Parts: sequence; C-alpha cells; structure tokens
Amino acid sequence: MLLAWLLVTSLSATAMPPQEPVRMHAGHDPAWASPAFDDSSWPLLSLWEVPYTNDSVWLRRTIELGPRDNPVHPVGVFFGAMASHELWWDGELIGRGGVVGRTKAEEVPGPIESHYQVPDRLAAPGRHTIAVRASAFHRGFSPANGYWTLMTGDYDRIATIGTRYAYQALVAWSAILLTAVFAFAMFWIARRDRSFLLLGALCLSAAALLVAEAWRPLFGYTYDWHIVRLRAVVALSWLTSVLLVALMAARFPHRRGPFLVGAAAVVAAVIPFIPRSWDPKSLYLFMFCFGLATAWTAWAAFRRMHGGALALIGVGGATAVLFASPWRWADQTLFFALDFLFVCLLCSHALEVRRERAEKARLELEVVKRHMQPHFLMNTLTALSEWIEEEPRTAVRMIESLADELRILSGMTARTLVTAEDELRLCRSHLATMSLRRDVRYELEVEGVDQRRLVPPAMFHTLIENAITHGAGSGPSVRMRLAAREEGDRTRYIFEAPASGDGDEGEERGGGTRYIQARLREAWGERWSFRQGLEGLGTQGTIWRTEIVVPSV
Amino acid sequence: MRVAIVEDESVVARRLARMVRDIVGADTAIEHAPSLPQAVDLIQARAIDLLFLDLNLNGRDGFDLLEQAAAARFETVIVSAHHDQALRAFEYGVADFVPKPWSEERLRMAIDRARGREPRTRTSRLIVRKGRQTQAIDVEQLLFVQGADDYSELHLADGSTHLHEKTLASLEAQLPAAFARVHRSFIANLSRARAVRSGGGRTLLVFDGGTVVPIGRIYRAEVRERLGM
Repeated sequence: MLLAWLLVTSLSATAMPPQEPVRMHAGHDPAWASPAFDDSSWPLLSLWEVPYTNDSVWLRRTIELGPRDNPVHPVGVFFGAMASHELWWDGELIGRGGVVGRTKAEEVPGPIESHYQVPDRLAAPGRHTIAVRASAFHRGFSPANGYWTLMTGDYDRIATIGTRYAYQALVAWSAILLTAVFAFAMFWIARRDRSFLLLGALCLSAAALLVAEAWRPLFGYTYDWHIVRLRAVVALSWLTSVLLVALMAARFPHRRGPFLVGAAAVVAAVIPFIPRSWDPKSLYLFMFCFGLATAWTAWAAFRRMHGGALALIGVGGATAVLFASPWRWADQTLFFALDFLFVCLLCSHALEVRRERAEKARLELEVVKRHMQPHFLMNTLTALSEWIEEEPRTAVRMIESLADELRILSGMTARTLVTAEDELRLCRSHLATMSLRRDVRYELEVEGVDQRRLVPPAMFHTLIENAITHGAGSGPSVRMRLAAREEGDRTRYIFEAPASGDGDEGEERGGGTRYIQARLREAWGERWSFRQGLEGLGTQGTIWRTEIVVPSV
Repeated sequence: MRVAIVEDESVVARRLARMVRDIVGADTAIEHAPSLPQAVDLIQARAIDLLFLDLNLNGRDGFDLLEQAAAARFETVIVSAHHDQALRAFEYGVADFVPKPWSEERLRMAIDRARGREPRTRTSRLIVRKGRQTQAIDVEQLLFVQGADDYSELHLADGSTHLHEKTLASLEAQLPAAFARVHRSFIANLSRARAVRSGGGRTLLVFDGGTVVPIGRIYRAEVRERLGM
C-alpha cells in the first residue's frame, strides 16, 4: 500500500516549468550586474543554448514579481549549472558558488546546485533584474551544453526542489538494501542457489544507482564532478538492468540462457553511445533490458514454470511503469518499480521454498511408503512365513537383512545427498533380502564407483527395485551392473540389468523413474541428465540400461 | 485334482504348492507359471480344475488375466498382497480371495469354497468368452441358466443366449440368492418370475416376457413357497 502510494505521488509530482530566455555576453565588466545597464544589444538565448566559452560569461534576465501568496514566505532563486557563479539581484550580490575566473587558474569550481534567499527589502512586487556571472573551465570533457537552470519563486519550494524526490527514493533505498541482505543470507545460509546471489547483486547495484542518482539533491558536489557522476549512473544502470536479465535467466533456465544474457550485456553496453544527452543513455538501456526480462518471464509463465507468473507480474509491472512515463524513470519511479519487482520475486522465492519443502516431505515419504506398500511388505512376510516353517535359519538371515535395509534407509531418507558408500550398502542389503525372498541369487557388479561421491538417497536402490520387479529374473541368478565414469566435473553412472523385454517397460517403471528425477532435481536443480531404455541383446538377453550424469561432488 | 499356480515370487509359489499338497493330497498335479506369457498359456490350455492367481505379476495389473480365467470352467482363487483388490476380484466370480501372508487354515477354507463345500461370496457379474474376447454379463439381466453336458447356457431378459464354460453346479454356487435351482437342468432368477402355471402333468415357471422353464417335481414346493404362492 505504502509502495503504491509513493509510486502514485511520485508519478503525479509536477515537472519543472519551462524556463524564460536570458541575455548573454562573454567577458567581464562589473557594470553588467546593475539593473540600470541596457542589455538589449546582447543576444537572447534559451538556457540550453548557452555556448561553452573561453572566458567568463554574464547572463541577465528581467523578471516581474507579483504580490506574494504568503507575505511571510521569502522569495528564493535556484541556480544549477556546471559552472562557478556569482548571483546578483538588482545589482546586489546575493550569493556565490566557487570563485568565478576568466582563466582556468583563476576559477575555483562551485557547487552544481545552489539556492539563495532574496532579502525582503529587494523583493517588492515589480520588475527586478537577475544577473549571473559564471565561468566553466572545469567541466573536464566538454558536453554539448552545461546544464543551466535559473528559477525564482517561493524560497521554501525552491530549497526543496530536488530533495523531495530524493527522500522518496531513500524510502525505496532501505527496502532495496534489506532485500539485498535477505538474498545474500538466503544464499549463504539456506540454499546456495545462484538466483539468490544474483538477486543480492541486483539489489546492491540498484542501491548504488540510487545513491548516484540522489547524490546531487542530497549532498551536492562541485560541478567538476558532474560528468563523473553521470558516467557512474550510466554504468550502474547497465549493471542493474543486465543483472535483472541474468537473474531471470538463472531463475527460469533455458539452454540458450547464458548466450542470451551475454548478448544482452553487449547490446546494453552499446546503447549508451547512441544518444548524445545523458538521460536517454540510461533510459534506452533500461527499456531494452526490462523489455527482454519481461519477454523472458512471459515465456516462463507460459511454460507454467514455478514462480513464473509472479515474476511476470513483478517484471512486467516495472516495465509498464518504465514505458508509461519514461522521463520520470531515472529519478522518480525506478526505485519504487524495483521495490515492487523485488516484493514479487521474494514472494515467488517463498512459494518455491514452500513447494520444495512439500516436495522433500513427499520424497521422504515415498521411499518409506515403498517399503510399507503391500507388494513389498506382504510378499516379504509370506516368503518369511515359508522360511520360518521350512528353514528357520534362512528366516533369521532374511530378518537380519531386512532389518539392515530398513535401518540404513531410515537414516538417509531425510537427506538430500548421501555417500555412494551408504547407498551401495543399502543396495546390497536390499539384494540380500530379495535373494532370500525370491530364492534367486541377485548380484550387483560395481565398477569404478568412488565411494565418497554424493548421490541422492535410494537412487541406485530404486533402479535395482525396478529391475527386480520388472526384470526377467527367472533364472537361478541375476546379474546387474553399476559402472561409474568421471567426465571432467561430472560423473556418469551406468546401470544395466536384464529385462523381460515384452514392451511397455518405460511406462511401468514410471513411479521409480519419477522418484529418481525428483531427487536429482532437489539436489542439483537442472544440472543432471537421466536416460533409460532397452538396449539390444546382451549376453543375458534384453538389457535395461539407465544412464545418469550428475555433478561430481 | 489339477492345480495351477500363477505367481512370480518363487518362495511364495513354493509355499502355496506345499500347502495345497498337504490339503488336497500328495498326488495333486501342480503347475507353476512364474511369468505373464506362461500364465496366459496355462489358462488358455484349461487342463486344470483350480487356479491360484497372483494379481500383480512383474509389476503389472493382472485383471486381464483374471477375466480370461473367470470365463473358464475351472475355479479361481486370488492370492494377493493387495487386499484392496478383493471387492473388484469378487465381481469376477472368483471362489475366494486370500490375502498374503496366509495360514494353512485360511488356504483350506479357500479350497473348500472352490470345491463348493463352503458358502462363498456371490458375484454380480458373469464373464463369458466370445472368441478371444470376454464379455461381462450383469446377473440381474439373467432369466435362467440351462445346464448342458459340461457347459451352461445363459438366457437373458433381452432374448439373447450366451454359453458359459462353467457347469450348472459351479454357477449355482456363485449366483446370488435370487437364483434357485428349479429343475435338474435349470437355475431360474426368481426375482424376474411372474407365475407358476400347471397343466398336462407339467409345472412351468413363467417369466415377465412370457418365457417359461419347467419346474422339476422335487423343486415345486420350494419354488411356490419362495414366490409366495
């Protein structure tokens, strides 16, 4: 609500009124300050046309003061320029910024913005003459014009002309910083998810941009720093908008994602060199990147990716504000649009966390359920009854291996990753149980598996279970094979088991397959691959082959 | 007695075979099908009297197989880990449903039910074979069943007839209470009977559409009493 209100008030804030022209002359003569001086021979210029000269210049403007709305309020003058200045009102010096000089050595740079109170005795209704003497030898690299502003009016209003926007922006600033802290905390403590790192970086970059934007009204600086600040604004605009694209790419991954982010960064870096004046440089690159990010989230929402719709609302909303009133973007609406965007992103992350927590509980339950489900439990108990009556010693061995299996299992289901060593122990105890239950010798040949590598719990176990339930397995012994190959920073696991090969295999193994894929996603996001299918004729007939590639950790 | 066991768990099958021999007799011929194709062959050959069927073979739903078995002349007992499938199985007219794990007493009961020595759960449908296909018939649509040599003829209210491989005695054991033996060769659906007509030394049961079946001398009193006449 507060955010919406701030957004509306900042949108409805009035733009500065158009400025009256001035008479200008280069050089210096103290008489030019006097209201009596006849300046009618001087050229009449708009402030935007004041040329860059190699001397000090005089600007003169005659104004008409009406009766004051509120006699208590003093009259004020606002002067902003990339120049040092002296300000004369009816021939009296009412303020100076820096030291005006006729050479670079004489001049001392003044502040970029100043406001002065006109003494009441000089502010009677009627005609007044404002004369400004200025010099601008310290602009550094020379822009087309020197950003000249000269305004008179109610002093209280004049004095707060810039700070009003700045304080609004500061409200947004604290929210942005808080989001940054939260995002980094989430990254370090909870999830190590790259998108949190990017969100934190995006917030920091936006916060820095806000400081660069608000520096002038809040703290002021001498005018020779103006171009430096404007360059910083463009650079931070580039960083902020490219980080937004990168964040969306990380949040909603696509095969071509990294390439698109790289391309967007390059294009966004070229855009500021096209317009000559400063504001459009940032504006166009924001338009480009926010448009791209909106398209990206629209794609994610269309594909029904988790959190896609909320991200689209956030990014799309911010982009809509940008395009609706582009010229208020940089110093007014940007930061509220970003706050809105971050709120949407955090909500979408929160939903994601909730979904993952539910998914984790579901996965944990699923392994346990598989051992409580009738097919496993009742067949095991039936076989056990038979061993008890016929071969009590075998029955005891079977109870032991079953207990072993359940013990290992209960120790690992709550975890996201377990060591291959633990996983293989689980597999061996399951094979022992199943061998006794079905009176078939099930064997697992393990090759090249590094016992310290981490894998999702019950991953190989599920493959073995599928192989036993659906496999041929009618002979006196059944051999399965698990091989691992390290490929750079990834490990490829290959599991092979004899299959009955009478069709419809994949569909029937669906339950186990979905479990494994959900576990892989839980542990590694999208950084894994899973492939399975029937392979031609091996020595044992048809082979069911599963290949899983995961990061080597 | 010829018995077949369809079960992919070898120890479970061994236990079943051992107990069947103990109950029925050591000379019982027992065949074992551990996989689906073998089970299909066994059921199609029909050279058995009693089938023990596990509904979950190699992770597959065995109801297609059960449909084939239910249409056959032999009796079927389901042995399953999934007790929630029992109600559905009884709709196929199985003699009994034995949940795993079981005791010898429970198995003896199932065999007695299959042999008609113990009352069993009545079915609401009969499965008949039509070439290689099967068709389910709602027993409420039945008027009467006529026994032939070693099969039966189902006569429906709509006038159609279907052959069933089971004997009249076997069907009598699984049809619901509304059905009664009215003649050595006839079982009638009394809920669809309208009248009993006598004449020329014969007594006939008349159904709603006018169809009649003879009532045997020894069944007359009981039929009249059940119809309230």
